[in-house]
Amino acid sequence: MSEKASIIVFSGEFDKVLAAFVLANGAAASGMDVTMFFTFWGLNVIKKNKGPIKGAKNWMQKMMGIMNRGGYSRLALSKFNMGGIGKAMMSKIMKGEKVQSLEEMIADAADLGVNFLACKMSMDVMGVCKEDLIPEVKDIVGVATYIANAKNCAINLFI
Amino acid sequence: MQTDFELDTTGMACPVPIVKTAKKMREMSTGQTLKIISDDDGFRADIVAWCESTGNEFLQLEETDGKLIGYVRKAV
Repeated sequence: MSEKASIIVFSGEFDKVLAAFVLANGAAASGMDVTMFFTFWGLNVIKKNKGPIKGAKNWMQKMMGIMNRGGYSRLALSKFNMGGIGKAMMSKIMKGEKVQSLEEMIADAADLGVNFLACKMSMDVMGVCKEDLIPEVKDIVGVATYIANAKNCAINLFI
Repeated sequence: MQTDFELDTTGMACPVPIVKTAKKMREMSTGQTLKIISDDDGFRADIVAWCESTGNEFLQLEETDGKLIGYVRKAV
């Protein structure tokens, strides 16, 4: 059985998420069985790019859905975002340096068999339902699933 | 060195050379060899480390005209 790696993606910032995918793809390419747990702000990475969330049950969750629009293309930089200008510049620099886009990294991760899991509790908090998530997400799970998996992982990261 | 397959990752940054190498190796049979061309300096250490962690055989690394050429053999 191949060695396992587990990455919790808690952050929803572009740079941190990029690091998570570089690590996930590197581990998967190195023959590891990789699981990414998306929780809290990290849910934004696996939310579909368009439209308001469908799972919102009250006005606060609806507000949250509007202010916290999801989709990997909407993620902001953790520093110097400057209302999106910094993010656009960073994306341009990365392209010039021939770094993959986040979209390409996510596609590679799915292709390499990285297991995408979403945290049920934070989905409930954010008013996010299964239909709000990209199809690459294999399952919606709780902490016990994470722990059971993490116990047997050679690499455990929290980003 | 003669190889069964060749992979050009010129102009691609980390982690793509390793990701593409892994994908290419999936299509190959045990014992077959692959030549990987890269202009990413990180590839120098990464290809050796990748072979170590996957159990594939690292054959050699050449450097010509600012390009790194790695040779590996599928062992698993």
